[in-house]
Amino acid sequence: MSNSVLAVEATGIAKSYGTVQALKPTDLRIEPNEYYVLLGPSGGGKTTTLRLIAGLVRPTAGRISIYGQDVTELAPDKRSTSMVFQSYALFPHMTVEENVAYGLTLRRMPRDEIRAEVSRMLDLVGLNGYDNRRPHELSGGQQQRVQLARSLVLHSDILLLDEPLAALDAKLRKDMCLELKNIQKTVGVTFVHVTHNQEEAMTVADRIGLVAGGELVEQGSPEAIYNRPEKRFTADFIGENNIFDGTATGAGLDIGGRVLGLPTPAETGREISLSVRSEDMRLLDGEPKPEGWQALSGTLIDKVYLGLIGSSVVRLESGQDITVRQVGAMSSGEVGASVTVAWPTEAGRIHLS
Amino acid sequence: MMREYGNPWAHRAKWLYLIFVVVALMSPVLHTVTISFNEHGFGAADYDFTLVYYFDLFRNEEILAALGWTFWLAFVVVVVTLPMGILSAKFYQTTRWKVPFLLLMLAPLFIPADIMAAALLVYFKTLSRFFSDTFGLEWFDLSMTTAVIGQVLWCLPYVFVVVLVTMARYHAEQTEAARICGATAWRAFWDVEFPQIKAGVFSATAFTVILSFNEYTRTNFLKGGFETFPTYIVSYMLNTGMTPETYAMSGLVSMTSIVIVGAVLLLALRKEQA
Amino acid sequence: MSQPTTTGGRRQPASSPLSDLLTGERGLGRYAFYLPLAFLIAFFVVPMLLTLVWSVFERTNFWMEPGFTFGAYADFFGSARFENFLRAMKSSAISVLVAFVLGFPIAVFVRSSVPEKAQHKAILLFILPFMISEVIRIFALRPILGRHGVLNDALIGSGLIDDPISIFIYTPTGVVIGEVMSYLPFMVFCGFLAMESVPRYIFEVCDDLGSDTLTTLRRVIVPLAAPGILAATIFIFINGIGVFLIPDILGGPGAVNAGTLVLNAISALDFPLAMAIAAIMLVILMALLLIGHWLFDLTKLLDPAKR
Ligand SMILES: Nc1ncnc2c1ncn2[C@@H]1O[C@H](COP(=O)(O)OP(=O)(O)OP(=O)(O)O)[C@@H](O)[C@H]1O
Ligand SMILES: [Mg+2]
Repeated sequence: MSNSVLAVEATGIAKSYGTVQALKPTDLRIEPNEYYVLLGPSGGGKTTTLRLIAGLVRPTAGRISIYGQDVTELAPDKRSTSMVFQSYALFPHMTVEENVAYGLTLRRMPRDEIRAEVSRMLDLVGLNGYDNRRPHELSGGQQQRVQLARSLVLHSDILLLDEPLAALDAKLRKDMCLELKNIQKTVGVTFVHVTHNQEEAMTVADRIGLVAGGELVEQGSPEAIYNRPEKRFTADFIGENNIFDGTATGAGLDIGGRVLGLPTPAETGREISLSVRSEDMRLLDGEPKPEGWQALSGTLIDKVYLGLIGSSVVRLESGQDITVRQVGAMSSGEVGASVTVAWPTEAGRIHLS
Repeated sequence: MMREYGNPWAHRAKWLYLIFVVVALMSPVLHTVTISFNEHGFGAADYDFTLVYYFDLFRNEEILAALGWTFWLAFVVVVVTLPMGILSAKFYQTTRWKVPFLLLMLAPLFIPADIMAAALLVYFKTLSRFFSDTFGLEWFDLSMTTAVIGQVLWCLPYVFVVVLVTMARYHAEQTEAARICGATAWRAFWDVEFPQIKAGVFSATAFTVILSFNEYTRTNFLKGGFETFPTYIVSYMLNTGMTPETYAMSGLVSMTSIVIVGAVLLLALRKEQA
Repeated sequence: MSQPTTTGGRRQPASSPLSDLLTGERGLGRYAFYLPLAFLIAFFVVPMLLTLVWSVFERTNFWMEPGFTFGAYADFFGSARFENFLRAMKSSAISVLVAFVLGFPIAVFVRSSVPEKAQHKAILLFILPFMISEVIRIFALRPILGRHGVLNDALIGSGLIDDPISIFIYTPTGVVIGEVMSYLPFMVFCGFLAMESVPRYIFEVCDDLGSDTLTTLRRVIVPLAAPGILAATIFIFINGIGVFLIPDILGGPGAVNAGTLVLNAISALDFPLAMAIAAIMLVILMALLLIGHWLFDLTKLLDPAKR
């Protein structure tokens, strides 16, 4: 759908703590009903971005609008956002029901309406029957569900989630991911979700924004970010990619002695990078290099069998380590053997920055 | 850690010593309380229980007036000190100048009461001269106000520390969560944070009442036109030495404190078991 | 899926302009947090610093007037007051020592041998005496320490002595006893507080290494607890010099300390002298705290972040 009004529109927002620039001036545009994920390494500025949207911190520069209304000067309680925190955010002296009802009580909603609404939300997050428990009587996953219910019950326009699943074990996290996605579809609210877990991001996101070093590095659908990363950083951070840095020449990419073929020509003389996903690479077991492939020789230094996938590490003559992941059969070579890694030329992706 | 190979008798002896020191520190007061109930007073061979000296106290107009002032003073000091203690703990949590602020808050504890009281006395006299000469006002004449200021300085560090320790166990995310649910800053404080630091605020209140109730030196310097119970007792004792009346008065002061402390401890213990 | 039609203003503020003015992040409410600071500056920092100024004022009949004279200091150092002051320092130092010897082992014992959960309760026992009026506690020592007091009765009764001992009260010894009885708990608190940051396995390690108790104490525990010991030492020392109640009630006719001197100066309406003595006390306190802070970071004691 085409939208003239954005759910979140931040222009040039920045936040500094003293001399630390937590977030450099950034533009962020999130569509209505989108599940947007902020992904990135620790300390990158994800939480800062989220808290700026919520109004928990004041931007040092820039403006933020929610559904067309400028909220930059509004306190968190005056904004149409709600939030799920990583942990410790439930009110320990209130029951589950009181926790979920808190926002509605503040709005002076009639009691029976509150009760109906609360039990509807607890149903939605799969917690009916837990009304009278205290937070400390719940498991970590259940606590996060209560937080979710407490946020959803407000029917805010934007739901912010700051690493909501970080405290959960891997299995539970996976289940909750799918559930979050479902709930988002059901309630039709814009979700902005912060995580540093790639898998989590890929599972839930409609669109991923990669945040690092206080900058929004790149954004796009999970598929695009994974398959067609634009920036070298993205290729490095998402998936398992092998990256070659060098100078573009007429013949390809000069990586110091060797010239690799590029999928598309690049401007001669420019410093660029070429990335190839590890699962697009193969070890050639003595067979000749197929037509239209690139090959490099090196020494096999490690072999790990991971069930479905086998992973090998090859040290090139240049000293660079290359990871090759193949489904099924492992290379027959022993550790220490000379091997050749190869990939189809068009599997490579060029990064200008 | 019970040292498993340690000598159990040495361990017991250490406990015994600890208890002995506590009892020794308390014994003069306990002795005074005991004597205050003896009809024959100090040094007598016989012990006959009586409340007569206490009844006498409550028939003495001056003492009743002094008690009234003491409680009124304690009340005002609590009302002023508690919010200030909470505010200062909050300030400490948000300020970037934590260490200097902490030192400033605790410094009044280190300065001997009479030195501080003397400095304040001269300060208030100066201010009072200034206000009456320039504006014809009676501000900072020695009065209830000046006594309250002196006592607040004395109680504030304790309240600050007690509240701070309780607040340290509180997770600030909860305030943020409440704000996002639509609560104003004050509403979030009252609904979410206060219920969780209540215990600390309660002990701080009891603490302040006791500190104010027992305070002698600062009050004696800075009060104007009234006696509190401690100042009355001390001037009485210095004039007449220890008499059955002074024992009863001391007993009354001590037992008030003991009752308050006992109540606080009992409540804390009951809460712990719940 | 239907488009949310709301705007950011969906949640109408449930407050009036007035409450906004008082409570908003940008309202007056935020200045409330500066109130304690302002109070301390106005009624603590300023008067304490002004003692330095007042101490050089000229004395008048009933008050003082601005001037610059060291008359008060000359008066203090050039008379018996100074000797009394030095004697008070000596007696105070003895009190510190006694309090350390009697109190510090208790702190060590509680930290090393009492179950973790009960430690705070054990320490709390030492708060009890503090909860009782200082004056009352000191006066209550009179019937205990006197010639016909409880202590002498007990000693005679047990056959240890034949005649009552009279140095327990109205003597310099009486002052030391009073100070130790009053301030001993501080040594226990501060020592314990400092050792709370010492992991308990340290004590076990020392056991395993077979070092005997005294060596452990001297080489390991005392250095670790040093900030606490120092804080308590400064506290007891300064109060020993400054609090007039103890020499007044338990000391003999000549028992005088800084507190008494200040009090006498004020009674004599010699305000510059009183302020000079207060200033001297302040300088000594600051100097001790600075030295202490320079030797060991005293703030470690109270800053949980540094634990
Ligand atoms: N209150 C603060 N005071 C000072 N610096 C801060 C504060 N909050 C964040 N920072 C700094 O800002 C930068 C970004 O922090 P932020 O919390 O946004 O990172 P993040 O991407 O959420 O990281 P993580 O994944 O570890 O949660 C960090 O360098 C951090 O140290
Ligand atoms: Mg974060």
